[in-house]
Amino acid sequence: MRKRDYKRFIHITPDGKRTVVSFILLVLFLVVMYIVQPEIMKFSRIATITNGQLCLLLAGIGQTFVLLAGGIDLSIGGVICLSNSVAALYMPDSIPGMILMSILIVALGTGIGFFNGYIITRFNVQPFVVTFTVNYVLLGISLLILPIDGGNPPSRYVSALLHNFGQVSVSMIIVVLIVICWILIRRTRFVRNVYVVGCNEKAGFLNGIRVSQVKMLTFAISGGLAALAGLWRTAQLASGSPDAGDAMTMPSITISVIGGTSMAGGMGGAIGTIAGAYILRLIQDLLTFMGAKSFWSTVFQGVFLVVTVGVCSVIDMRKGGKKNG
Amino acid sequence: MADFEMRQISKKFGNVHALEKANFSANKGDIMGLLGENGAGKSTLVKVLCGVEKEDEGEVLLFGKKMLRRTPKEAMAEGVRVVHQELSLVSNATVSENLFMTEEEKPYRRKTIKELNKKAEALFKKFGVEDIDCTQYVRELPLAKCQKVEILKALAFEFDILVLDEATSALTEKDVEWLFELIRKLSKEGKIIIFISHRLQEINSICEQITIFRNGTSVCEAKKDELDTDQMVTLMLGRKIAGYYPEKAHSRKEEVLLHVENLRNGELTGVSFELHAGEILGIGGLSGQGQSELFEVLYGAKGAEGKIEIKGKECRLRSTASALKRGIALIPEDRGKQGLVLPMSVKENITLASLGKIRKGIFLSALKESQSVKKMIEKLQIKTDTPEVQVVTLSGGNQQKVVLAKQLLAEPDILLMYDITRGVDVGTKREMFNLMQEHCQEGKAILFFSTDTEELVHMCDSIYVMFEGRFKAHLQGDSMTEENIIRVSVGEAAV
Amino acid sequence: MDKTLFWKKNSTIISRYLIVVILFILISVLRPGFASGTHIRVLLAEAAIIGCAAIGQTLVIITGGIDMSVPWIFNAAAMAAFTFSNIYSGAGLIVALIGIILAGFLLGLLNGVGVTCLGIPSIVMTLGMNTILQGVVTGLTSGSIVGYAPEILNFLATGTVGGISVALLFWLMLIAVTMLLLRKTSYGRALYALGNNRVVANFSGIRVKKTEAIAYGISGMSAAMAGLMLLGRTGSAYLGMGNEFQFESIAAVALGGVSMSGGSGSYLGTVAGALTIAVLLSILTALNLSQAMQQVLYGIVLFVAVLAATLQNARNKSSKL
Repeated sequence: MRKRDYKRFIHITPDGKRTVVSFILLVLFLVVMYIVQPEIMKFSRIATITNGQLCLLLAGIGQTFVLLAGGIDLSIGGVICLSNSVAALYMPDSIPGMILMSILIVALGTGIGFFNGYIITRFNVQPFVVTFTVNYVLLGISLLILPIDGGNPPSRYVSALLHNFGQVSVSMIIVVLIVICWILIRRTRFVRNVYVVGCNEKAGFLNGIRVSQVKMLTFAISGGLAALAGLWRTAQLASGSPDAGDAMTMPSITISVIGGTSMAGGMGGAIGTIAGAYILRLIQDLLTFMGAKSFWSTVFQGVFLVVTVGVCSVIDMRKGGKKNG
Repeated sequence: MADFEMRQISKKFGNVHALEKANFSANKGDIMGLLGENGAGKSTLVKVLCGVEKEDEGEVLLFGKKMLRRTPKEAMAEGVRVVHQELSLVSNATVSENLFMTEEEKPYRRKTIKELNKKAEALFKKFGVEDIDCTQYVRELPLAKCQKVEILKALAFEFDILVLDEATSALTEKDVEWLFELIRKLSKEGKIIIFISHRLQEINSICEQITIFRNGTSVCEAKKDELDTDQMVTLMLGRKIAGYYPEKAHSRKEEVLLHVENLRNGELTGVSFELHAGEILGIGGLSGQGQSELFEVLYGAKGAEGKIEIKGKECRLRSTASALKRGIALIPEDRGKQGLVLPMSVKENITLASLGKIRKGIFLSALKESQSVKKMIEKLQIKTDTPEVQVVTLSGGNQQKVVLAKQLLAEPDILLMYDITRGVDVGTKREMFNLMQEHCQEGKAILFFSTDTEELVHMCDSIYVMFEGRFKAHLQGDSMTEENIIRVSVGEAAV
Repeated sequence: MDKTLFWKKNSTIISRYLIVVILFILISVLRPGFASGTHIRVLLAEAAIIGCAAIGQTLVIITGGIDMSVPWIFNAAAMAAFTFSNIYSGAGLIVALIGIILAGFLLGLLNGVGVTCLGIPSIVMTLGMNTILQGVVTGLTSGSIVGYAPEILNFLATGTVGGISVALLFWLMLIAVTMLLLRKTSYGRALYALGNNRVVANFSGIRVKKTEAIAYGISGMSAAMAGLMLLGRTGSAYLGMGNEFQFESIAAVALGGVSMSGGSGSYLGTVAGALTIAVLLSILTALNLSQAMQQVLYGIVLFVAVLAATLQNARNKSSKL
């Protein structure tokens, strides 16, 4: 390929070079995993993995939106817990009821996101302060609703979401839908504005972009997706937990970053985040395969986050250094 | 009544009147020149016009209709397009994406890259632009082309008023010609053009009407022919300045303070020179030819290969701290971003670069600190009530003096001055020039970069002109003229 | 110094102390017994631990960063001291305790190196460090350890000298040291400068990376010290004992009027913040609410307070412009 064509190609892949790199990584880990455990490539296994990772994946895509616009959302865990607790306790056992309840919960999550975004943009507070505090309150509210792990979502709800159409699971369909949605919205004005705001907020403002509105929407999307993630989690576990979802916040950042989204904003995209979710799972499986004890998984989570962000940041610095120097 | 009028605009920032009952008016097809010193209120006027700042009092009328301009978006919808002094491009997007960033359309409407590129190419064709590839990322473009993209972005949509705020500062001479052609064409189409530049020459060659601002208000509106350059300068300053530059002291000695050999990195392609004691060595050339890179390398803020000898001793400058220790200090170009911690006090700023010198044991000595600060305030005649006030409350010129004071307190032998006179009033400029000479008479040396060629010619013992990362010519004695500096900076040979 | 200038500069801090006093008086009137000597002593000891954990947090927030790794450095230190008490005694134990505090410094420094040299956002670096330590501590202790709290720590946390609790005296000493460090040394000056504007600090010959990394080191150190103090008070170490301090250390700093964007604020403000939190916590406990309700109310109160502090900071800044 000539250089120009290559550039065009990179630009056509919606989110640029970084997404391509994350997919190369994904393939690499798949190959390694295939060597040690050939059944990884079985369709049913992929369905199981997708079922397991969908909650994180949804949360991660929400986080990606916020990161793209230059923010950070630490309230994702709290929203998942709240959504999980409410759904586990109050999900009615009728189809219209389920749909209505799900819509209500997603609306609640979106509302919380809007609130975050409003406070952040209106009063010009650091995103992490607001979302961190809101997270704390949300965890408290979940604990009020559901003091201990439990709840009993209707079995029809659980089986509907965990249903398999032949070999294809509902979660896989959802992932495909997400990819299609992202490709459809990537070139819309709103998403372009998200990138602009993340890359150069001031330029965006001077060019007539409503920066606060764009930021607020990213937080709302993040809240809504986190609520969805909580709904999925309810089905996946067939119960509720007032605090377990809190552990989702950090990996949601991890998979966004390994998927190529820059912590500084303006670079990356949701497709990469999907790859990131699978990469994270593959590495964890690899660790389990090697016989690591469970606490190593916790250690690994931290190391992985720091190392990915560190490597990306060093690469960016090198690039920036070369350009300026 | 004129077609476009800004009436009695006032704007206060804290206690400072940025604009005080300022008036501005123009008719269709006018090319208005807006003149004034920095801090005279030009930029604030533009910001008010384009909705970035809201005026405290006053109103803006276009064709007799009141304009609201609550946000930049609204201002654009009302027909105002501004090419800002600072670029407002998104570096991680392509040229065509940037060009149509401001486009008004439904948020959910998709636009493919192909569509955008096609539109961009049509736009380029319309305005005769051939040297920009619209699929390139903005971060890969040199500054001059970025500025061109910024201008084109403003032209991409319908407008009634076009404001060019220092839009020519990074353009090449050829591009300036292109821009002027364009402006004339637009004015024939009945657009109102407001042209702001610190280059009087440009104003003279393009504008028909001139409005001069001073201290936040308009002091003169006239046809260009009614004013000559001297009158304009006088109106801008509000007083006559005689003997703008001090007489040359010729204090250059034989002792070599700084010897640089074959300095190279990404931007520099082999720079060698010697700086003597008592010398003011000028660095000329258009900005962006590697000057800031050179200064930052010499100050240890960036790395480069090559040899640097200070007073005959070879050394590696790994950090700004090590450069300061060896007696090199930099007065950076942007005082707000690189020179001063704006919310901190004058005192704290002045001692920031020499904290080691005001220490007593492990603690800072309040006595030593206030003594040093007092000395510097007196020496530089910084106008401030007490040294405890925040430096942000001072005027531009005084702020620049605080930067100078800070670096001078570190007692450097070699002072690197990067365009220190930008945005400084003439009175302060003169004080600074005197100070530079004093500094050199003490046997110290100055490396002086300025975008103002007149300054270079009047202040320097000799001048190197930089072009594409290296020294293109060394101008001495009679060849040290403004004409020669410009000739070399655009790639010609000196005469 | 000019008197009006003095008031202007310190109005934020003074208002913070007023809040503490008003809150305290209000509660003492409503609930007699709240203002008793023993209760005040308990309150101050509680505040001392929060205040100690928030020393480093103040420094880090002044640089414009945040330290999320307080809870598990805190926890690791307490666990380590708890275990060491089985092995060492006397002087050996004291050396071991000093070793623990130094280890806290080194862990914090590691955070600092990640943030400054690798350019990792502080929130991610410290969050990662927190998780790593959580895993390591859980793994090493397998959840249960035996030991006892060293007597010297008991004395430090609960002892009294002439009717004044040792914890308070220790805290007063730390306050003095921190204030001197921030106000009277070139390190403190450099810290404020770089929190406001890194480029200017660098162009003024300040070693930005070193200064910043040390702030994280001090944060690790102060978290470890706070962990030791809590160990002394509760008498045993357990997993998750530091969890509350992630929120509380940040809240104390924010309540103290330190700007979350860095560059301004003072440890004296944080002290007021720590006192406010201690009073608030004991009010919530006194109200006999469920754990969950307490968390919600606590969170909301702090949310409002943090918001108010940010707004006040913003107003102060714009009025000075």
